[in-house]
Amino acid sequence: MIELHDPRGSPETPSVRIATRPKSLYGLTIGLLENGKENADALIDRTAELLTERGATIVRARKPSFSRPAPTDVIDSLAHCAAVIAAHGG
Amino acid sequence: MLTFADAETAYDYFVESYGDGLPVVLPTAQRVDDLLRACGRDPNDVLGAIFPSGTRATVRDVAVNAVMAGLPSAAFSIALAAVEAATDPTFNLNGIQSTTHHAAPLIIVSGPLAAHAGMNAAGNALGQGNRANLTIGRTLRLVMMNVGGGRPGETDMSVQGSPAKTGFAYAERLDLLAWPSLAQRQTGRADSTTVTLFAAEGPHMLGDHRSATADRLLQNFAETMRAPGSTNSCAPGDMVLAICPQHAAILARDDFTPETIARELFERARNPLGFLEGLGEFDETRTRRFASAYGDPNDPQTRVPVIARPESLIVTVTGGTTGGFSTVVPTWPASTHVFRIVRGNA
Repeated sequence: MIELHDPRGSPETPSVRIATRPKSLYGLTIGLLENGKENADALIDRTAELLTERGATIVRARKPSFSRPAPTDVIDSLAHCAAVIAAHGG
Repeated sequence: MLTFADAETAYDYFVESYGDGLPVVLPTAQRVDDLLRACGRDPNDVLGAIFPSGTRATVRDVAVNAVMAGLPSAAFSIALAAVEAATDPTFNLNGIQSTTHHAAPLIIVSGPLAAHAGMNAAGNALGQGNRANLTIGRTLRLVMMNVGGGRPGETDMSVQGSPAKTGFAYAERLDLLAWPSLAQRQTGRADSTTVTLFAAEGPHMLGDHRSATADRLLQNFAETMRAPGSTNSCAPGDMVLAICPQHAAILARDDFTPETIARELFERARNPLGFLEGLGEFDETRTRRFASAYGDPNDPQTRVPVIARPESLIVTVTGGTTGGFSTVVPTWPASTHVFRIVRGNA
């Protein structure tokens, strides 16, 4: 028998509650976040059209760098939304 | 602790499941304890979260991976500082771990503790043949893979990767320096040692055996720095310059310092926007946005630098004295370099 240290350390798995899913989008404010890569705007444009047709109010935001986490002011601008959709271009 | 029937089974399992493709040293309690005793730090000290897993790396976790990498105990404090630096959000380790780019962390060690750790800053400073140079970089990589969960084909999506991803560390050569070391410029103290962490593409040689003046030498540096292909060409960011002693002597003789070298190359290493428009890394929105910081973003004559500002160039001196071969290392511009002071081993 041989005992060895585990090189992965001690992963913690904090419990995270998933947000309640809205039953309908009608009348809700929906955030649309572009990651900033090519064509993300095209995807978001069409998604905004479809959601608006269904009675949603749209708030749009864009990450200044697609490779970095969204900065606090971008997250804050979406904080009041009932749901946020992130679009990844490429 | 993990238990195995015998050492051979354990070895095969470790190489397969926790390795980087090279053989590893098994992290027995004895080996890990020896390393921890040498550094004198609390094994439970948390250095920071290693993404993408977000697992918080302790001093002990780094020691386990350092044993696997074959790190000499005298180099452990450098490896700890490198891991600590990697957790700085400015460095964007999560991005480096998952990008499709070639990005790999480059560890630059500047100050007297590099020699204490046994690092080589003379001939082959960026090459093979020195245990500390090779295993400092490898330790960080194993921490990134095992603690951070950055694994090729799973979360590490690099299209080609680069040899630098196995481990890339070098030391600044202090004995021939004509100006304050990188660590001294960072901390204001001549006796301090720092690690600087930089998101590196592959290194590119700057060979020059003809330039007798700093002016001409810097022009050749600038021509290489502004080569298309690197992400820097269309997205200005950091860059590393590892100047060989022969080139450094020419620059120092003509009264250049790291600050004036950086200012000069910030002005010279530029491409006109009209040229960038034809490059594969040109992006209509982003590149023009970057260009607007340096001139009219719609004028083809606007000259866009490859380094965002003079301070984005990390100027170091390293290598042997037998020729005029320096190195430039472009970056992944979604990362910004960071540094940490190395605490001396007990």
